[in-house]
Amino acid sequence: MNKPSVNVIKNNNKHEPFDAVKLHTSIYHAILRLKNPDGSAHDTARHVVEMTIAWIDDKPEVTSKNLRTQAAKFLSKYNQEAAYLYKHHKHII
Amino acid sequence: MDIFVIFFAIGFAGLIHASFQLSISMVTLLSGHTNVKKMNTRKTFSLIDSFIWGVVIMTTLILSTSSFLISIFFPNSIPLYIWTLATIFMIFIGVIIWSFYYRKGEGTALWMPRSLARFIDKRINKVQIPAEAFSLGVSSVLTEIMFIAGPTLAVSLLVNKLPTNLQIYALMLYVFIASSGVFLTRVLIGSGHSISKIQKWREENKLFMQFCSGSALIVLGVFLYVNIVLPSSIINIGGL
Repeated sequence: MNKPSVNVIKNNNKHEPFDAVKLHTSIYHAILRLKNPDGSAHDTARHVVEMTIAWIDDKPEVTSKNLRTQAAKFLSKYNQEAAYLYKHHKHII
Repeated sequence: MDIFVIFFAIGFAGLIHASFQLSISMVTLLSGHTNVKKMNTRKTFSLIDSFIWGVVIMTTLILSTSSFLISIFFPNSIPLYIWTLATIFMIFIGVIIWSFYYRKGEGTALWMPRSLARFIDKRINKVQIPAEAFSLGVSSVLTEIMFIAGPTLAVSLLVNKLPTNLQIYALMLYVFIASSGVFLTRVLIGSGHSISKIQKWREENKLFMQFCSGSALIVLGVFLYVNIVLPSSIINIGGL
């Protein structure tokens, strides 16, 4: 599931390799925050990660903001409320 | 100013305090965190209630301490220059709220440095026991002290104008109204509203809330100036 050849540019301008497990965990947590069942949260997170990997396939690097926006867009196909929380989690406080 | 007007002003100051959002943001995140950790409902509300107790107790402590200090420094009556400085301070904080309370952009990101916001988020994610939630409630009030100082200062001064037997009721009124935002959030979470809906509502109304908070603090400052500072100044100038 990992795609180490893609670099993610973070907000502080640091670069790090794309980590599918990290993406999966953050999407999974966003879904769980809304009290959704564990199994469906895992399944949805897995689908979203696969779609995101397909999206970054032809890109040498992406910003973490773009990655988050795109993953939220894919997640909104399954769960709009979770997608909203996933996209805005860092902007609640 | 008669007693009814003082209580009205204290209630109004409580509403201004209630419009500050850090505690509400933190209780929203705490609720989401308990769902991620798959805590049962009892544990979830034990943590949320402890957080609210932290908010209530810290608000009570700040207000009672500032009222006590004012009564110690000015045992007979509060000098006019203190009222004047307090009203200027309230108007200044009101303008600061208009300008800086929310960050521009998506979400409900507040004025604080992002490193502090991340630290608070991390702390919320590590909460396991009610004592930790309680201390987070305490720190949520302390973190917003520069905004809370506006309405708290007004109430501390007003409380000293009341007879001693009514001061405790004024304090209770203020703390109850000031904490009503977190009470309401707790009720909404308890009645099954999802945190994303609460968060969406907050985001859609954030500019309105920001405008109301800042304006209300300015209105309170002007109200106190007109009702306390101005009449006394006119009497002094008239040599009465």
